[in-house]
Amino acid sequence: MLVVRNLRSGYGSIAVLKAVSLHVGRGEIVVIIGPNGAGKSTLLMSVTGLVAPFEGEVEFEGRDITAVPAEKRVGLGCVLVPEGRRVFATLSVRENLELGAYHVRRNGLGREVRHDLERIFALFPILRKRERQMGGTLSGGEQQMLAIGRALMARPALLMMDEPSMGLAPVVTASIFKTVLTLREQGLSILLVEQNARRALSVADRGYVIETGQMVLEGTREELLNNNDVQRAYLGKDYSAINE
Amino acid sequence: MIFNKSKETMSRDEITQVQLERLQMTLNRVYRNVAFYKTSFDTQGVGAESIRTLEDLGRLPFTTREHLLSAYPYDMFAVPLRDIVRLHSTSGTAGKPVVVGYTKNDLSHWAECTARLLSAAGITDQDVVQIAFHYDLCTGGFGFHQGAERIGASVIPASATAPDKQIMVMRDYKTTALLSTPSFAARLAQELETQHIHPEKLFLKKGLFGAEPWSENLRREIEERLHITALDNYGLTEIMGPGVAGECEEKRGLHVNEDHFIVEIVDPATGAAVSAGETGELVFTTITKEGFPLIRYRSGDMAAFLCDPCPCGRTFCRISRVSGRTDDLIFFGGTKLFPADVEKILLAVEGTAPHFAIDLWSDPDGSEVMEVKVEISEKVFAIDKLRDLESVRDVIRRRIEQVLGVSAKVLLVEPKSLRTDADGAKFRRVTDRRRK
Ligand SMILES: Nc1ncnc2c1ncn2[C@@H]1O[C@H](COP(=O)(O)OP(=O)(O)OP(=O)(O)O)[C@@H](O)[C@H]1O
Ligand SMILES: [Mg+2]
Ligand SMILES: [Zn+2]
Repeated sequence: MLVVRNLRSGYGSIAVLKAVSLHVGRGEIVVIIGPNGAGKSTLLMSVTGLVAPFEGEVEFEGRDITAVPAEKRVGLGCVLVPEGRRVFATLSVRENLELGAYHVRRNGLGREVRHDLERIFALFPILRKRERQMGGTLSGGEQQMLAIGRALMARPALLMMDEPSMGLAPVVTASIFKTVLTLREQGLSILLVEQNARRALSVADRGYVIETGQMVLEGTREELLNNNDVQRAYLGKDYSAINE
Repeated sequence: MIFNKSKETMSRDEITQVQLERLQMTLNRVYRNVAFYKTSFDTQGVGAESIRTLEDLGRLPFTTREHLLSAYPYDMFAVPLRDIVRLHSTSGTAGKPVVVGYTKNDLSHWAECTARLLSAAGITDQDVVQIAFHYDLCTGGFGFHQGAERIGASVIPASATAPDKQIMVMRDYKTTALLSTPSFAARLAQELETQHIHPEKLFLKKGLFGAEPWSENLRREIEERLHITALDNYGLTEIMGPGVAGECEEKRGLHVNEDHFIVEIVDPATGAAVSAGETGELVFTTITKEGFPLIRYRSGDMAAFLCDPCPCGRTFCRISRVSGRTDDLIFFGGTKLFPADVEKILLAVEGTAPHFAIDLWSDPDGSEVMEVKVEISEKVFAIDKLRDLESVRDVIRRRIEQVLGVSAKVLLVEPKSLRTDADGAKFRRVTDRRRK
C-alpha cells in the first residue's frame, strides 16, 4: 500500500526527518508514536506531498509518487486528516464535506457524491443533524468527525490522521478510534500519528516509534506494549493498571 | 507446515523493505545506547543516516568476538539491565564468556524463530519433543524449549541426562522428535545398540541437530541407525542461540530467519563480500534484538548462499550447511574451545612447557574423547619423580575441567617429543579422528 524509504525532509535548510523508512500494508492500521517535535506531522505531510522531501522515495500502491504533487496524491487515494482539523469555520458542514469531493467530481463522478455523503452521515449521524450549521460552531469532537468525513469524501485507500484525539474528551476520543476500526473493516488502510500512545496502540496492528526525526523501534501492538522504553516514555508508569 | 506464513513467504521486495526499516532502527538504537557503536561509527565517519540500502551495510565496521570479550559483561547491552529478563552466555572458554541479555520481546522472537525451525522440520502439536541440550547458561535447551512450547508440542526437557536415561525416556515417554547435538545423537544410537533396542521399538521420527558441524555422512549414519529424518539447524549465542537458520524437509540448505537477521557472506581475509554462490564467512546483523543487538558480527563459520527458490514455499534465503571455521575452534562434548585456551592453562601450570597437541577420537561406545598431550619441561624431567608427574597431570586435568568445562585425558610426554621439525612435517596442533 504505502512504502517510504529514506525520507529526509524538513523546512528551509533544517532536516526534521533523517532517513525515515516505513510501510503500511493493505488493510493495516499503523500508528506512529513519538514525543513532541519528533517529526510525526512532517512525516505525514511529506507523504501527502504538502512538504517536499529533500531526499527519499514514497511509493503508493506500487507506484513511485515522490514527484507527484499533493492534489494528485489525493486523487490517487492518499488522503490526510490534518493536525488541528482545519475545518472551514464559515462554511456549512455540508459545504465542508463537499469540498472533500473535489477530485471525485473532477473525475466525472459528481453523481456519486450524494451517495458518498450518505455514507458519511451514516458513519457520523451527528453531522447530518448539523448539516447546515457553520463548521465553526461545532464542538471539537464534531469538528474532528467533519475533518474525517471530508477526507473520506475523497474516497481514500490510505487514510492518514494526525493527532485525531488532540484536545478531545476521553469519550469523544474513544468514539473517534472506534470509527478508525470501522473504516478498516470497510477496507481502508490507516496511518495514524498520535501523542495518545495508549489509545492509538489499542486500535493499531503495528506501530513505529520516532524520536528526533529517526525511527527507533517498530513492532506489533503487543511488541510495542511489551517494550520497556515505550512503557516508560509513552504509556506512563501506571500503564498496567490502565491496560484492561 | 509453515509456522508463520505471512512472514516466511514474503516477496523479496517485502523482505528488503522490512530489513531496511529494521536495520535503520537498529542502527539508530545502537548509536544512541551502545558506547562501542557510537565510538565506532563516529571514528569511521559512517552513521545510521548513511545506510540507505541493504548494500550500504557493507560500509559499516565489523563486530568481532574480541570486541564482545572486551565488553564483558554488559557493555554491549542496548537497554538497562532492568529491562533484561534472561541472561545466557557463550560456552566457557579460558577467557571470559560473552554475556547475552534478552528482553521480553527478544524472548518472544526467539520462541518464534525456533518454532519456525521445528515447524519446518514437520514437528506439530502432536509431537513429543525430547530436548537433550543443556538447560543452563548455554542457549540450546531454553532456546528450543520455548519454540516447542509455542508450537504446542509435548516438551520433555531431558537436558544433558546420561544416554541410558535418555533412551529410557525416549522409549517410555514415546518421544517422536529428538533435539540434540549430532554427536550426542550418534552416542544415543550406540547406546541403543548396546542395550539391544531396535529403533523400531521407539516412536522416534525426526531429529533436529545442530550446535556443532557435522557431515552428510554422519547425517546418513544417524538416520539409518535411529530410523529418523535428521535435519540441520544453525545458531549462535551472540546472535540469539538456536533459531537463526534451519533446514526445511527439502534438505536443501538452511533458511535464515531474514525478518530478524541480515546475513552476509564475506571473504575472511579481506572482509569483502564473496561472489554469488561462493563460500565465505557468515556475518550477521540482528534487526529486531532489543537487549543485545549486533552489527556485522563475524561468526567464524564458513558457508555459501544457495540462490535457487526452495520448493517448500519459504522465501527466506538459504545458506549451505556450515563447511568449516575461519579459526581453530574445537567443538567437543557440546561445548567449544580454542587450542589457545588449553595453552593458557598449561602456561599457568608449573613443570610443563607450552608444547602440546590435542587428539580427538570416537570411542566404540560412540562417545567423544579428547586427549591433551603435554611436554613436560626439561627441569621436571630431570627430577624424574613419578609422583610429581602424576600430580602435574591431575592439576592439568582439573584445570581443563574447571575452566573449559570439558573432561579430557591428559598425557605427559617427554620434552621435545611433540616437535617434528626434524622430518620437516608441519606440526599438527589438533588431530581430529572423530566420526563427523
Ligand atoms: N513549518 C516549519 N518550519 C520550520 N520548522 C518546522 C516547521 N514545522 C515544524 N517544524 C519543526 O520541525 C520539527 C518537527 O515537527 P513535527 O511537527 O513534524 O513534529 P511532531 O512529531 O508532529 O510534533 P508535535 O507533537 O509537536 O506535533 C520541530 O522541531 C518543529 O520545530
Ligand atoms: Mg504534530
Ligand atoms: Zn525450504
